[in-house]
Amino acid sequence: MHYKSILAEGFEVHDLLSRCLKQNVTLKNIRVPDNCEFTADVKGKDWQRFLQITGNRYRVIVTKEKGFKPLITHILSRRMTLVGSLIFLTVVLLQTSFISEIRVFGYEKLTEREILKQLQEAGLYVGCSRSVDIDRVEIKMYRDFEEISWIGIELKGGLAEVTIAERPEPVVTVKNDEPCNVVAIKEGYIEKVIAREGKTSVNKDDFVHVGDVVISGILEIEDKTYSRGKGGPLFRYVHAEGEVYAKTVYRFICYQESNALEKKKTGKTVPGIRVSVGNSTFNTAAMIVPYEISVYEEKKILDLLWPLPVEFAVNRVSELTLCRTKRNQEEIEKEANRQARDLIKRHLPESAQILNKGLKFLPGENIIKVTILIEALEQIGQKKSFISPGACSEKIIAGYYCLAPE
Amino acid sequence: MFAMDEMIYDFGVNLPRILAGGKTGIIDHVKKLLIVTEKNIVAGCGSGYISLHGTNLSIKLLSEERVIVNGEIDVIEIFHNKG
Repeated sequence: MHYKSILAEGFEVHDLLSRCLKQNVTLKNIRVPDNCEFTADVKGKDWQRFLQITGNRYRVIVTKEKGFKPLITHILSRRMTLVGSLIFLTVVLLQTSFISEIRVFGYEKLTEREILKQLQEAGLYVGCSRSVDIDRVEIKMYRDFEEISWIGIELKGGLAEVTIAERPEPVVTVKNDEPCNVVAIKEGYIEKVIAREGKTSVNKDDFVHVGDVVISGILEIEDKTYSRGKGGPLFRYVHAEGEVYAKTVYRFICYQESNALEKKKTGKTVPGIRVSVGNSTFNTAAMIVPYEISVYEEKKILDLLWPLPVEFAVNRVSELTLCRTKRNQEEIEKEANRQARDLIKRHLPESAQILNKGLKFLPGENIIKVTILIEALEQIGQKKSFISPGACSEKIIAGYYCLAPE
Repeated sequence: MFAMDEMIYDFGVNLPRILAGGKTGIIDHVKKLLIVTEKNIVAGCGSGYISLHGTNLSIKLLSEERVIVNGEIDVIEIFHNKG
C-alpha cells in the first residue's frame, strides 16, 4: 500500500472533495482546519487522477509518503545504513561459520592440551570452518589416538563440545579365591620379599628372570597326620600374595652430536606481515624468502575470535649463517642428564626408587654415544594363576586340595 | 420493520442514511459534500441532506459514496428536498 499525505490549499474545499467522491478517488484522514486548506492521504494509484481533479485551482504539497514502496525507496537511499546492515549480516553469517571455542569433557588421564592437539591434527580447531566433517574428524581420532575408546563431537553454533571416553588399561586379575603364584615381571636382583600368603622361593640378592616364581602358591603338606598318596608328596594350593622388591637395571643408549651448530644472524632481514581470516592465511614471508638459511620471527598484533577469527602479525625473516663449534664435556653431560631424566620419566614406573645412575660416553667421529645405566628399586611381583583355564577348575580352589601340580 | 420498508432502506440509493455510534459516523449514499469544517459536515445524498454538528470532526475515509466521520458528534440533522 502506498499513500501520499498532502496539504491542499484553495477555495471551496468541499467542492474538491465532492469531485473526488464522484470520480472514486479514495481519500483518508481528511482534516479541514479552515475554509481554504485541508490535509488528507491519497492512495498512490489515485494520485494522477487526484492531480487532474485539483488542476490549477489548488496548490498541492506532498508532506509525507507512507507504505512499503516509499519505505524501500527510503532504505535504498540511505547507502551507509545499507552498507552497515550488510556488513552486520555478513559478520553474523561469518561468525556462525567458524568454530570459536572447543570444550572437552570426560578426560581423566589425558590432558586437555593433548586432546586439543590431536583434534587439531584431525581437522577441528578454533577458527576452522563450521562445515568441518565431524564424522571424518571422529574417524581420524579413533584411528590416530589410541588412548580414547569413544568420542562425540557436537556443534552448538560456534561452540564445539567434545566428549571423550578414555580407554581403560587391560588388567589381568586373578580372583581372590583362585590359587596363584607371585612371579617376577622384570629381571633383577631380589632385595626384599614380603610374602603375606604363600612361600618365598627366592633369597636376597638372587637374580630373577621374567616369569620366575618369587612367592609360590603351591605348598607341600608337611603334616604327617595326612596320609600320603602313592603319587608322592601332597600339596595344597593357596592364593599367593605379597610384595617383591628387586634392584632392576635399565640400560639406555642415546646419541649426541659432538659439534654444536651455531646460528648467527648476518643482519639482513626482510620485514613482512601475516593476515589470517579463518582458514585463509596471507603471509608475505611465505612468498618472499631471499635467503638460503633464515629464521622466521613473528609478533602478533591482533588476535580476534569475535566477530571474526582474524589474526594480524608482523614478521621478519632474518638471514643466518651456520657454523660448527666443538661442544665441551660439561655441556654434553648436562644434555645426557636431561636425556636420562626424560628416559626415566618415560620408562620407569613412578613408584620406582632410583638407586644409582651411570653415564658412559663413547666419542665417535661426529657423534657421541651415551650409555645410561640406571639402577632402580622397584616392586616386580605380580600374581599369576598356575591353572590352565578349564583344567581341574572344579577341584582346585584355594584352600586344602591335594593334587600334584602338572 | 415491514418488508417493504426494509427494501426501501436497502435499495434506496438516493436516501440519506447514517449510522452513528461513539465517535464514528458512517454516512452512505453521499453524492456530494456541501460543507466540511471541524464543527460541521453536510453531505448531499440525492433526495436529502445529512448534517453533522460536533467538535474535532474529520473524515477518516472518503470512498465510493461513503464517508466515515470521526470526532465528537453532537447533532445529526436530516433535510429532505421538497421540490
